[in-house]
Amino acid sequence: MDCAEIRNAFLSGAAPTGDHVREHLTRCVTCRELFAGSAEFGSALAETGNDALRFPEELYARVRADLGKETGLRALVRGQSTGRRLAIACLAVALSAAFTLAFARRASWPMDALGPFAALLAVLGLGALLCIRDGLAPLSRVRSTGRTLAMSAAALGFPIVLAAWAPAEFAGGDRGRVVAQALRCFVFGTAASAPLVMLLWLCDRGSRGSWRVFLPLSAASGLSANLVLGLHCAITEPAHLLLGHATLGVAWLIAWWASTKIASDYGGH
Amino acid sequence: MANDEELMAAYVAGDSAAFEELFRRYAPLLQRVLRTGLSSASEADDLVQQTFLQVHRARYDFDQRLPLRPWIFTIALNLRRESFRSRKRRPEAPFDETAANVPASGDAVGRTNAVRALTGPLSRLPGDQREVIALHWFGGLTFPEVAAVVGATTGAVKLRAHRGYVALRGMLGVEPRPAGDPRSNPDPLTGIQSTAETMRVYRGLR
Repeated sequence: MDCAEIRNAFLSGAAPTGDHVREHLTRCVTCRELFAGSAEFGSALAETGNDALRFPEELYARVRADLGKETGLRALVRGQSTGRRLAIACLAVALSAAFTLAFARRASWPMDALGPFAALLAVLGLGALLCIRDGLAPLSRVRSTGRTLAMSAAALGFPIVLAAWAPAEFAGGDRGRVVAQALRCFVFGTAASAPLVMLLWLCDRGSRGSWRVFLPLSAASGLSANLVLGLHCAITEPAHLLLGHATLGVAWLIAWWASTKIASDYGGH
Repeated sequence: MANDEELMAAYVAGDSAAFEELFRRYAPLLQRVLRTGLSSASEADDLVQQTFLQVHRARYDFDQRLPLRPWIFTIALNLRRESFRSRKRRPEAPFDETAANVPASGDAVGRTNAVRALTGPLSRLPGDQREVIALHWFGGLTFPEVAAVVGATTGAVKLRAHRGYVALRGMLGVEPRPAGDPRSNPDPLTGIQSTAETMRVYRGLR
């Protein structure tokens, strides 16, 4: 006999009785509280829990109308299981890296520090996957706000820290050249990570545009862009890395926030 | 009659009638739970609507070896939390009128008053206590299921429920009868039988 059996017995109109009930009540302070004295409190609570609510016809019609709108590519993608949605997003990261290696790889590789360089790329890729997993986590899971915030902040801040600690490889004092190169990398990184962002948007189940979704997914997009830029760009100037690489995560965050805000204001699911 | 998990499996396999039956079973439960702590019935209904939309989108995530009830309630409560966050407010305004869905004629008047008497104090409970009591009583979840839904241990949710019951008792002025009171009965079994009797009358079983 446990609390649920006692409650369920009430709901079916039965009165649980016997030594096993008595024994449960000696152990369970919660049930004792409900049924102490003349059990007025338990009775009131039981009545409240059994208000004869009608079948909400009008609400059902609204739900059916919602389901009727679930058509098209986005409905197809976000209706997949979470495992499949994760696989699709990971594939997008891998394909953008492969595409860059095949068609737009950097002119030279840091041959004297190939191990740390590979480790850095691995950290960027792993970080992107972790953020994607957090952002696409289903609503049927209890989520930790603190973990999402910490992970996203670390993912957005990591490229900035990398830029600040990069070995300064001075290549002249032409500010215009630095800005132009940074802009080219920014555009390349944006273009390379745009397919991932598009896929993540398709995969998102649209739970009222929660920041808990767009924050980690923006951070993932930024890390993915930095991974691709690591394969594409050999410049190690801190100013270039800061302007052209590290800002991508923040830029995606602003873009995602703005689009979520607009969608929310116009009542989109 | 198919159980909830079988119905969900049928829906995943494409049976839309199974969805209607799931809605019939769960919508009233979700309304009861979500209305505790909300200021209006329409807000709760919006969340119920959202919940079923999310159930549809996440249908392939459901593991048919696990119970459906905690799965649906976790979705509903996550949606409610996100709704509170997006509106930057805490769940605190009491839902002022349960009578919209309570039979209000004849012998139901007394019950309606009892329900009203409890609804206000329930809304004034701290959110974590109210959530546990709502899930347990109105949602029909066991304490281990409630623990899974709110992300706490079974012991912790039992403690919250106990504290909530004590607080409700205080707000309602329902105190255990003093010793010597002819209506008092130290045996909790009698209390249970008394509650069951109330329920039988209430549900029209006698």
